[in-house]
Amino acid sequence: MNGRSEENLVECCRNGENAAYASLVKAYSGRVFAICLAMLGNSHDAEDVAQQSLLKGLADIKQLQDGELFGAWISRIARNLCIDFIRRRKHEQRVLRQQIAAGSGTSRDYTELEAALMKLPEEYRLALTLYYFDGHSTKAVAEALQISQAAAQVRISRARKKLRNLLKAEGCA
Amino acid sequence: MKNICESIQEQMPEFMAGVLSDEQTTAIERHISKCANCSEYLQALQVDDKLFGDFAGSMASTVARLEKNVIETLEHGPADKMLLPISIWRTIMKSRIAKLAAAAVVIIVAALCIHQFGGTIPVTQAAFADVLEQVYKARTVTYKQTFYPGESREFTNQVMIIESGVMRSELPQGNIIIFDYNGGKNLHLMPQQKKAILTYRVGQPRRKGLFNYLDWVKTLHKKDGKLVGQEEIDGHIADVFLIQREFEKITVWVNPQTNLPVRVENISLPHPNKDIVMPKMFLSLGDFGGDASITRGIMIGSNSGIQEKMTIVMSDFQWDVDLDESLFDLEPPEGYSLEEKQFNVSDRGENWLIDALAFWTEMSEGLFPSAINDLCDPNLIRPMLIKKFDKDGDAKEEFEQACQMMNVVLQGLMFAQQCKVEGSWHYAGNGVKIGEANKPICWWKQKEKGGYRVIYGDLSVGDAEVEELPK
Repeated sequence: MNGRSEENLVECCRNGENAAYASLVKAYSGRVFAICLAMLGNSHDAEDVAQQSLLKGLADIKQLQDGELFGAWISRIARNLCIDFIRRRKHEQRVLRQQIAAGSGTSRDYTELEAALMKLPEEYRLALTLYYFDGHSTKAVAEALQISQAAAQVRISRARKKLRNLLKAEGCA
Repeated sequence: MKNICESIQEQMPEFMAGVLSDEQTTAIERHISKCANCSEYLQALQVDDKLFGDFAGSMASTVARLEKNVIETLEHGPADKMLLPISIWRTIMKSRIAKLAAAAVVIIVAALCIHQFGGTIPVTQAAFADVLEQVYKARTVTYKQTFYPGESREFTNQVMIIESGVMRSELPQGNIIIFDYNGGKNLHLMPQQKKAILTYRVGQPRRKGLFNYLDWVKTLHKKDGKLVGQEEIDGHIADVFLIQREFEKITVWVNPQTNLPVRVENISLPHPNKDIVMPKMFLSLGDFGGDASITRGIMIGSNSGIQEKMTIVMSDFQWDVDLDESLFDLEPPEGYSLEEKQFNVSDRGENWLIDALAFWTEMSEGLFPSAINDLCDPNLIRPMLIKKFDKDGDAKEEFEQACQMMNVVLQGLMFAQQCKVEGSWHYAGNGVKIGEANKPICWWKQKEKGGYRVIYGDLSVGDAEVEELPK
């Protein structure tokens, strides 16, 4: 993050230096997107809510007391906005999207993976998606989900096992 | 107690990521070399890992776009976007729901006007160009429009547009508004009361050529607008186009056979800076001794993020249907009482703000507002408007004068909000009294001339360099 600590960047943001927030966005956009994708199940809504989350992060930055906790804090914002979105989406009774290969979203090659992923319990889905989208780091998963690193490690491991079984059942093993 | 295989398998993600200590890595390698079960498990995980890794990789462009969009907002702000003429709505309604519905109708019209002023956006999607072509061939269109204003209750109106550009909007409870943009007037019909209000828009910016409300389609494409998939709508497959903008996300579902839209969804987002507010307020005729059920609201928005969170869904499109021209008549039907009003929509720039501050100081013993957003605080402004204009005379006349001033105040605030969006707004009026000519009250950067524009404590205006201004 340009050699500046997260705490320092958050402090700069609090003082109105929006440019400092760009470094935080670069560091956390993958994680925020992963959370939204895991919770919403499609990349279009995930992108939309992830963008809202990152912008809300800046708008509410003064509420963040400890700059070192930015990762956990922005993750919580993303999860809360996803919950709001899901509530609204249920209300609107939207039809399921059928992605096409040429679109900007997921190609058909990952249909089985996505389907299996969506069958996982949310906590496993989040852990696994975060793991793959956020640098294969159990530390990052632990921070985003506000659990211990050991718990994150177990969760990822169980999620992988469950996913493995689901893919096997789908004949993708 | 966990068995050894279970324990090894739990550590495999870290093992594969190579983040374990040498000691742990060696122990796992030793175990795998002897255990067929764990070895097989590791191989399966490696396959999954690649699949998931590729899946994450396929989203890299989406994450990059997300990052870019957010950073662009931070770096450039919306200043380099179109800061367009303000559009405005107002209405007089009796019930709250009808009032909201009418308000929303005018909001969408306002939004359409704003986009239109922005000029044509280059077409980059050949497929979307086909859609445009079909829309421009259409003589008429009708559609259902549903508003989901944040957490409030949704409401729906029916819209009809004819070739000349006149739009008719049928609201819940039977009220109707006919918008004639080119003619600069709106007719609001209230059948239950047999009442018509004809509003003339004064100072409307001149345009080249006629404005047609069908022009909204022009707003639905930009270089990043693209075909993203297909969905089933009412039993038919539709192509889905997505346009992601800084403060809105627009999705258009198109019938692939006709290339005409069958559904449009527009989600608008407020500016992330909570200090940027959407100027709005209501006044009641009852405040001036008249019928308390008559209220008037003014809300000013622009597409630079000064808007409220809202989702608008347009559906049930019918293209090229025969519509009776009498539906768009701007003459009130026989038997209706007619009230005529004028409404100033001209772009007076800083003069709106100067007039707003002059009114405020007149009503607050010479003191300027402690914060500029006080200009739309109903607890502060409404009592001022009532005190100034309620003189126990003709209630309607007083109400009208108060509404005109409410418009001035909100337009003034809108000017300040636009400066805030550009990131160059400073306010230092707290505690300053009118007449303090050497005290800058507020200042903002001048885009073309350079330097700053300043309003001083005696409401004079001048240019200044940054070193002449308070830190």
